[in-house]
Amino acid sequence: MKKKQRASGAQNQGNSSTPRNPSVGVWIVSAIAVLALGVWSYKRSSTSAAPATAYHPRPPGTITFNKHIAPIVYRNCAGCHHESGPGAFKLVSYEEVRKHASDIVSVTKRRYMPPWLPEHTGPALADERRLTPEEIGLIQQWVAEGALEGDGSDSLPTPPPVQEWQLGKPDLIVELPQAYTLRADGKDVYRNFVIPLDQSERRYVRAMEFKPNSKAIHHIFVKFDRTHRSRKLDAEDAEIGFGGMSPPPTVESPGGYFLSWQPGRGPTRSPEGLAWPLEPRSDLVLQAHMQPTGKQEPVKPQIAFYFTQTLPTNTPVKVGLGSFKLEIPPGVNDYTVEDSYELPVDAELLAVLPHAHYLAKEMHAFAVLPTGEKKPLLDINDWDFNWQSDFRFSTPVSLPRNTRLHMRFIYDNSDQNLRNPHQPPVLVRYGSQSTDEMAEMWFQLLTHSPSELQALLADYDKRLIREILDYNSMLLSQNTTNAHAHIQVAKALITMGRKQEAIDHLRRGLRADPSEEEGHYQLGVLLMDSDPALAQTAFQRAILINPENFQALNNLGLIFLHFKQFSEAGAAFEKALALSPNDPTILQNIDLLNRTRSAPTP
Amino acid sequence: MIHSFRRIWAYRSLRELAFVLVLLVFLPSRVLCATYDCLERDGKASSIDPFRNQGSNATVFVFVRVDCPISNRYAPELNRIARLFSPRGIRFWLVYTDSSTTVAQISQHRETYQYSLDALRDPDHQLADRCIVRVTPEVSVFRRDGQLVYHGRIDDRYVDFGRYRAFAKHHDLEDTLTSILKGTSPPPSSPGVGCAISSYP
Repeated sequence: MKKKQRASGAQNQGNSSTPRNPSVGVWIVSAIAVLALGVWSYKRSSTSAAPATAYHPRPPGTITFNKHIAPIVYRNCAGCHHESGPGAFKLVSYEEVRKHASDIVSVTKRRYMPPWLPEHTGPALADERRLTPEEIGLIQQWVAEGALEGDGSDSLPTPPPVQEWQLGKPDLIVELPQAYTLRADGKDVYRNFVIPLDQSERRYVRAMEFKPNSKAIHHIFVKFDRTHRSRKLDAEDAEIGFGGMSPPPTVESPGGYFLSWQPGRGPTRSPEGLAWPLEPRSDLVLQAHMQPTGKQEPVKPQIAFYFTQTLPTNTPVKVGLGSFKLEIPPGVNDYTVEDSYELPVDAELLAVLPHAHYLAKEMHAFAVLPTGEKKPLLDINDWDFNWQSDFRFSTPVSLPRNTRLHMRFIYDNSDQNLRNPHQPPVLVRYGSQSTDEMAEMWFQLLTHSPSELQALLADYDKRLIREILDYNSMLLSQNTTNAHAHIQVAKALITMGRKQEAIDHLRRGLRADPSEEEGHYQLGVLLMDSDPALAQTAFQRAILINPENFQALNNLGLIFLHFKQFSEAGAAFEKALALSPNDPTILQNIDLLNRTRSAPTP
Repeated sequence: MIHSFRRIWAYRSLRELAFVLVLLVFLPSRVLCATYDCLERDGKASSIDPFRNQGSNATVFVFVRVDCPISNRYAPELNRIARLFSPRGIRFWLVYTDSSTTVAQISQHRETYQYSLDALRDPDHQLADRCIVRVTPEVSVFRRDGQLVYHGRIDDRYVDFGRYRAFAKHHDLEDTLTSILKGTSPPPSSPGVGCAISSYP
């Protein structure tokens, strides 16, 4: 054996021009190269896309439910996933959470739960329901290691209490008088529930809480109707409420406010000094989106109102950007809608509300400041109609005058969009059915003074009127007998001083639908000076349709006064006053009547 | 040398024989002849081997959970399919795999969702493993000859949690049962969407 080794050594020495083993120099160079590569790749990985907040695994076996997981679950999940909550199952005890461990890992990793559409890009949003990468990582590691409970030395935090009403005893509880029965299966159901409120005077609401009392309600919008139109629609059939996503235009949110509810959402509190008015003789209209659960569900929700005597010191304004002119061809997966509006005054942005139907996939709201700086406000990269909501900023966002607010939505009308209600896809236009589409980004703005508020309202009004004119003219081009569109066009034309064109549209609208109360009223207003007799007929028709139209009664009184029919005038004014107590306009007219009556006859 | 070699060989073959005998006796009785707690439609409880109570044409196992919203949403559709195919020699079973769900809860659940199917409990997930199901709701269809011809989703309405079509495009369970009756090929097995049967991934 020794002989062999010596022979190979001698062989190496004798053949240095063709070495069998690399020389020392090559080894050194290779080592340096490897070292350099190691340093380069380490530096690269530490400055790469991996976020600074990525999860750092804990030592194995140290994560327990009691110490680490329960606080996460109680803070983010148990709000819905408790005994009487909207969640399908409870996630309060260790056993309950352990039972669903696998699913909890999948849904949190995907950020399907907790449900929260906006990305983490714009200014901080209030009540954000979002797990940190740390929390998601802890859950994953906990489950991977067998979901340990932990021993008694880790004191379990208290799960969130389940209360009757979270803000204490309400001032007013409104309930659907009779339960609506949602069918067991089929598509999602959109229905509007009408509840007359017996309020005889205006109240200011400082907070509101909605209780679905059913797992079938997916979201609602709270609106009011000061006319009887909703009631009439409700009464048209035996079923409670009336269907569809398109209640009449008399159904509105109060002033500049958004009032909505989604599972997990607690009470809605008005910011300081911004209590909103609940008008007398309003009907509450709950626009509900419900999802069949596999069995018939009785739906009997409740709303609690909390009032304040403190009058609001300011009024927010809702500015809506978007488009009525959507026309999304089938197969197109990146149809884009863009719109913008320049602020005429300084303002604070309080909240935003994006709205679209099933084809929207991305939604973006941003501001371009006068300096040119682009400021993201809200980004949603995977729109889910089921989780639509208004989003309040933790701190109002200050926007100086001449800031331009922008919206940009992208729609997918291809068959790859599994939420597409049309299979195969078809051309989709603006409309209020779930099979139509919408593009609306609402901004809730607060101005700093009454004069700035007026300036914003006036400026935005001009824009709104142009939009209403555009949109309704488009509707009329598709259907000349659309009475409502005629009346909307007429109202827009009135504000632009185009009286004769307005009268023409009102007449055409009323021919198409004589029950359009608003049409009769507006016609009366336009004809009051030029043709009081015709105006009288118009107002009387409006009152016949809606006996509570106090404005029509007031104007009728004025016409009777003009014709010196004093007792008829008095009766009309009295009726109007009963419907609108302390109304300064009506009181002035009564005074005028009395003075005219008692004036000596020439 | 040869003499001891033969002895060793003989000993080894005895061991192997014993092993095979054990397999033949115990293993099939554990897997192939397994019985499950059964709750029949009329509320009667018993212990039953579903593979000895098959449909004349096929047997369908429907895996559900009392607290899975997706599974529950399918109750009317499952009842419809059962009503359609039961008269045609197809036997349906609901299978509850959650060990913490009591018989009373199963009874309550069936009443609430108006299920017309008999129910089995499978807390050890033996049947689930044999049926190759992972989530609720998923179904498995066995032909009369014992062959598993389909396992997975009922239809393609659900694509993921929170992502569902207005209407299903493919009705896999129904198509499978029709194919069995007609003697044609069933659709390929496709995974369902819903709550995991196993607590751990």
